[in-house]
Amino acid sequence: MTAVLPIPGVRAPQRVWSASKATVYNDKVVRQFSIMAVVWGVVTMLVGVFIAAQMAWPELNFGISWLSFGRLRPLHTNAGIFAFGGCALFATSYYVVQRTCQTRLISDKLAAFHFWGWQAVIVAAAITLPMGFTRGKEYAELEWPIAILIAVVWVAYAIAFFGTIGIRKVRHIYVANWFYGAFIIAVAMLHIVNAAVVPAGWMKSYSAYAGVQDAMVQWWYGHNAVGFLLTAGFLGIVYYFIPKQAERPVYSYRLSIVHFWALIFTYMWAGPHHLHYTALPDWAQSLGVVFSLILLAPSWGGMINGVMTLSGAWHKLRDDPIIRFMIVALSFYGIATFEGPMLSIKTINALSHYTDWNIAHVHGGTLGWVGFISMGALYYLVPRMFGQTKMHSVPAIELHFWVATVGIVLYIAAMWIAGVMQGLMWRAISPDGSLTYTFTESVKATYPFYVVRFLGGILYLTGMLVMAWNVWKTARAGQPVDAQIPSELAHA
Amino acid sequence: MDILFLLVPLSVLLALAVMGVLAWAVWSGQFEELDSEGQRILSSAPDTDTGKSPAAAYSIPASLIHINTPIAAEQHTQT
Repeated sequence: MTAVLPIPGVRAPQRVWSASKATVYNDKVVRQFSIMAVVWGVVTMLVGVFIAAQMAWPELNFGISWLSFGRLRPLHTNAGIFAFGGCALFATSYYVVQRTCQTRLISDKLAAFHFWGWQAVIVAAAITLPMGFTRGKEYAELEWPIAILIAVVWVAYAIAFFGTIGIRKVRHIYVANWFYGAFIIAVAMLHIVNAAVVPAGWMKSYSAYAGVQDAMVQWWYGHNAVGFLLTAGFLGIVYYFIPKQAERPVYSYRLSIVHFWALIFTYMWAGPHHLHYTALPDWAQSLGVVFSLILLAPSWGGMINGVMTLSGAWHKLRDDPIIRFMIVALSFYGIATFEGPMLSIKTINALSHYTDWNIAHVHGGTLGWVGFISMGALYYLVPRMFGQTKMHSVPAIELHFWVATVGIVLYIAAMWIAGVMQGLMWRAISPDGSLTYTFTESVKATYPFYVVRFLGGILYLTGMLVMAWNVWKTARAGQPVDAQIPSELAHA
Repeated sequence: MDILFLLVPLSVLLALAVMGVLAWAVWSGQFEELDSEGQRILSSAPDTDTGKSPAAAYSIPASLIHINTPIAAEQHTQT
């Protein structure tokens, strides 16, 4: 913000330097987050496969406390959501906000702080969770010092993102930015409310809420984390990267605006469906069901809008493995957003709750929707970040797609069948009024499905390793490139 | 369920904030020319295509290209 006095024929050196820097986008932070998304993707899937194997063969605990399922499972979920998913969202949001606003990020330092701060959070999680430090809240396990670091880093991200929108050179704010913006604000609010604790030492704390109140806050947080991080954020990817890769505008730009406002107005109260048949008052549970059912409408509107973007160019689905990743991701979004409201209905929930059906539902969303849309966007981004026109190997993308798709189908089908079977076995009653099966019998019956799930996980991890190799080769073949800002060039 | 005394007002405040942002977006003309906005991200090709010379693609001043109107130019036409 320095005032430059115009002296004819004289240009101050620092002015020239800053002008030359301002003519390119800050693609460094995009590159960093893209690479780390791939790295953390491999890590979380590796941990996932390991704990899937533990479900089938418990001996793999090896009697070592920090290898036990209870400690590695939160590591897997945190790495998947916040490390892999988070880095993919940060990379794409920084890429999209600069392109659609036709301006460089408002602050390189904030972006760098965001990157390194977030990596510190992930490493801290990878150390403290296996050691057994946890707040015991799903997706919010990290103890209070790390939770504070998350809040600080998130504020830096918010300033960098919204500040860039504030200095945009294009009047209209592209729809993808609205989705990213809602994701940033909502996650900040959810995190701060749910992380309210009374510290009792450096790695121990007690929740500010108690009993059912605490459960309600937790699932208000938990479901909206799914709604705003795993849904709204990735819809930002949908609305920018699918049109770019398909080289066609969004099927209905108007519908995308309606999709956004409808989604964020209705998401906030679906959380109670996680607490059916608990101490939570019945009316609060019913409210959760109603809002969950309402959500079906905007979700499917958005899904259809995304898929129909290919209208008139369906051959790309056959020819372009990247677009296939994206469209199949939307299909899984459609499946998960249909299944979710169905599972929230109390009579269905009575069968599904606490069974592996939930695991199938979550992984349809994460492997199918979040994973595939991120992979599609990363395959679009990586070559451009390294001055290449396409990935090192397109057949390897094809291979990744098929291996991962077969992996998901094995995974979800196994868990669906296992879940329904468990639900039916647990509720089966003999003529004399006693339970037909013991719990152990249902565990024993699930064994083959756990093995199939493990194989599905192996396939999905294999696909990710193929991607990591492909990204490595692409990056090595090129060199880091920061793209020019078209509007700046026009003025120069 | 004392927690509802926190969560309900918080949700109401959030809904009001969302409505405020929506009102701003509508009144400030964010949704006036939606038909061209979907196209715009596709027309600014140089940000994706490293093969072409960006300068050549943008030899026309951006202020003359309607679909890529900078803020300054648009304010000028409105007055």
